[in-house]
Amino acid sequence: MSGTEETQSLEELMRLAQQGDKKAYAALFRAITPLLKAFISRRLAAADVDDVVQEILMSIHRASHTYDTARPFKVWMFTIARYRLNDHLRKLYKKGAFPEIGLDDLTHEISAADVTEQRDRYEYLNRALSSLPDKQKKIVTLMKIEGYSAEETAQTMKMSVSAVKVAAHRAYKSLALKVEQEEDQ
Amino acid sequence: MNTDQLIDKLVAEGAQKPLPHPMKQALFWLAGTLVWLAVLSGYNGFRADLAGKLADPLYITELALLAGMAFSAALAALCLSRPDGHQMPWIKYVPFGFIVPWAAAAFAGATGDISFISICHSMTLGQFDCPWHILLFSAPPGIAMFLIVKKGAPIQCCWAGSMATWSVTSFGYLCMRLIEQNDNPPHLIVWHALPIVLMCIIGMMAGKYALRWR
Repeated sequence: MSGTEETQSLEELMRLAQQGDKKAYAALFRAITPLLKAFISRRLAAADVDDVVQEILMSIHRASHTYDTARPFKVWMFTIARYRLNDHLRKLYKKGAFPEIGLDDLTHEISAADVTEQRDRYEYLNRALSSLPDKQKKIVTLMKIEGYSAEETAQTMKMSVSAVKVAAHRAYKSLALKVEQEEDQ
Repeated sequence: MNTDQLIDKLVAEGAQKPLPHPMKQALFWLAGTLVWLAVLSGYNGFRADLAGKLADPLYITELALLAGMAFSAALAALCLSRPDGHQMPWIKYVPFGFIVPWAAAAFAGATGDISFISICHSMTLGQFDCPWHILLFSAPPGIAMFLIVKKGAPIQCCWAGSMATWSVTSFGYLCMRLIEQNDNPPHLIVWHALPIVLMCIIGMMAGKYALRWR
């Protein structure tokens, strides 16, 4: 990474680029490409990531005149990225890349071995969870299984948000330790 | 082409100069629109009782609120022409804030009957020249507004389209109030306000296709 990228914010790089500074524009693109790749690779198959990232880079280039340097760059950039990602997904759905699968077909696809393996994992997780203290167990269940936020969990548990976060952190740590121990055995 | 080659190509083209601030764009558009509306109003002739009406505070308030509604809708449309327009989600609700005060100012001192029956009766009169005039007043500034919004990169196209249409039709309504000597509330509701609502729905659908950023 060059010195320019290290010392200047994305907002500053875009401002310079809009004034005709091509070095800043290149630095900006090189700085945002890994961010976009990380954003897209969490949502798409690896094979599609580069194509979509390139589409987003082109869109950012085409929309470069709409960026207001007084506003955060990343919000502007990720809005464009999300818009292009949705466009890409819409195209995929239109092509029928995600065909509907009947429940009967699905039953044939799942083998007895898969079911047993899933059940083993479930029991293993259940065992690890039940070894935690009651409070930590409840917090992990609420946050990771039932999908509540830290604030909602804090309300349910009648605790402060920071206390919930600390308890959750301790629980994850001891769960990770248990997994390591189990793997060593 | 790999990503590095693409970046080199884009850098060679360079970034585009930033658009003026939406407020600046709105004022620029407003200046053009006012000239157009003044010419059309002058051509059609102002209402005969205009001097008397301008002394009526309710009439002045109604016109001021219409102008405020039209300008805030134009500003909202222009803010929505930026991809990150969602950072100001409140901007598109500002014009709605003018509706109730405007209706109060427009119909508070009205002498006509605002009952459901009189509104239904007004529908049967077929006074299509009013919506036609509003459309005529609105079309050129509307096209200009759509072109300005399209110059950006609108992501909320339906909102942008409806706001653009709302702004120009509100100015059309304002002009009609300066030209037409008719303060009958059922007429204003059926042949002025309802066509504007309809035009905004059409504008919303037009925005979806015409303003879509590709």
